[in-house]
Amino acid sequence: MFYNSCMLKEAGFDGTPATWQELKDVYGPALTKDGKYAFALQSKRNETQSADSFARVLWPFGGSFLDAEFKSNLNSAESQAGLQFRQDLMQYMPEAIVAWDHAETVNGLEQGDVAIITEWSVFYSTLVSPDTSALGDCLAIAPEPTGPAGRKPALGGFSLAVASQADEAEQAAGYLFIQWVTSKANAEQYVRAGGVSGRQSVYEDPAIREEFKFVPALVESWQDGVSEFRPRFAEWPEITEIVQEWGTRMMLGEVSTEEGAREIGTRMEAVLEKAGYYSGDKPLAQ
Amino acid sequence: MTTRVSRATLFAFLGPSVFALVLVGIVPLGYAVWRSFYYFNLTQLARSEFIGFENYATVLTSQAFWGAMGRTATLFAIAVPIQIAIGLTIALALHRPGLTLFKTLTRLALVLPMATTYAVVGLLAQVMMNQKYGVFNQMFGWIGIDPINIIGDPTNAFIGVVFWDIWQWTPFVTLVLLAGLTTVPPEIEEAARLETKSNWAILRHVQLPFLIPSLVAVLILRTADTLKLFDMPFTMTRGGPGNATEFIAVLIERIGNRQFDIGLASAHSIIMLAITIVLARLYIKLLYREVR
Repeated sequence: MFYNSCMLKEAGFDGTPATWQELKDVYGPALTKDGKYAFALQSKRNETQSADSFARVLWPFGGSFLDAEFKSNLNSAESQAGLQFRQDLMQYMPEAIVAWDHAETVNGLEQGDVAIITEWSVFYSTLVSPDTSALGDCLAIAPEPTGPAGRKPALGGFSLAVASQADEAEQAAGYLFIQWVTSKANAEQYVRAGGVSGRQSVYEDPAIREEFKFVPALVESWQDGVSEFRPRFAEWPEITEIVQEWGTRMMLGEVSTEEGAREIGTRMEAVLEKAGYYSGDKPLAQ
Repeated sequence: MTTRVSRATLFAFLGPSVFALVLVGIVPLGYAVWRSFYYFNLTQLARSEFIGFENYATVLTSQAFWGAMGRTATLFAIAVPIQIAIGLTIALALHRPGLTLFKTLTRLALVLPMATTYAVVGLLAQVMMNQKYGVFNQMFGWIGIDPINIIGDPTNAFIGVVFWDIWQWTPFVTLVLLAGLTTVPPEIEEAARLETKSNWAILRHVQLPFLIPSLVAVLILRTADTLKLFDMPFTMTRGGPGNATEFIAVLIERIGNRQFDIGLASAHSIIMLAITIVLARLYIKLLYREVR
């Protein structure tokens, strides 16, 4: 959670909201006035809608995309609570939030239009740059608020894999490269280059913690990070398109959260059925 | 005295172009037709199988397809008449004698929108139509209008796409119609101007008959362009908000590149090709007339 500490202080807050509910009920009304908004949840119809917006409100409220049988869990009480929460939170977000991608959201915070955002750590460099940000010393960072199910931030990242179709020599070279690039020796350089290293030790370096102020919040977030924030299977690209369309339609009020969730659920299950998850051809693994 | 050109010379000159056209046009078309009869998903290659016309049945019974076609047809019905009206007005102005420097500069200025890459237009639109920082809302503010949520509102986003399509393609219509106006024999036009001062009468009875071929060409080309409009709405709105700007080409891209269902995407594309051919034939049959 990146936030404008000066805006919060001006509104009488000496810290960030501990819970999502507090963000909506207390911080929302206090910070939304005179063309300024308390919060911006990037929600443009692309992966931003699925991962940053839709999933963001599912997990902290105890919801999820799928249940243990890989059937849609979007109409559960918990998922609905999260999705309805997002609807209610929209009154404290910019009017065009459904068209806001990362650039607009980060810019909103940078220019003092929005007080709080939840964004990936990669945007830290633009938030602290005087060329792009008017925040200066007002920029502060904290772990995102908790929901009824706890703090459930996204655990995103990138994977390194070795192709099983490659010959033995290439596979060996692949494994060696992965060992080298993810080594302790390279971790600091990787972080300085803008990456998020999988090596936890680099984040204990005082110099790194000093230079990259998001590190403490980042490391704390990982402890409760949800690795299946977005289902990790080959059918996700097809399913995310469904979530993107109906997720934005929910936010626009074209469909209710129940109706939208039912549409996503039905279509999602059709995709999973065709892929063979329900017939046992594929394991129920995310 | 005529000189016969040998077959070998003909093939040598025409062959490479024809070969290139076949390679980039006919071969992919043939592949798409073939694939459209298969279940062929890039993430499930082992399950590929011949399914006959099932993909076509899926397309023709798909709500998403008809919704996208409806939006595309609405875009066409609004944008193209406006492009023709404005394009014809500019073409008539440029056709008149005099103001040579102004006309030269106008012709140059007309090229700029057409030369702008479709995807760049969409990116520009995102920035220029931003509710807080965009120049559109800045200009609205000068005349006392509050900032309008353009890209984040379904109706306004659609209007935004219409606007940019008109901005980009009116110059093309202008230039085609201007070329059409040069086919009007000057002596006939001059005689008409001696008979009447009414520009409308001259347009209706003298210029329009000669413009028919150009208008048909514009209709055919703009129909094809509208049916394959993808880059600008994709970069501007990604088909959103909701599905307000999900035109048929945006839907096909979603099916092919994100669902990876190449068979179904191919079926969509072949149906679009058929529609384009039918419409082109209809325009020619119903509207095309040459002045004798």
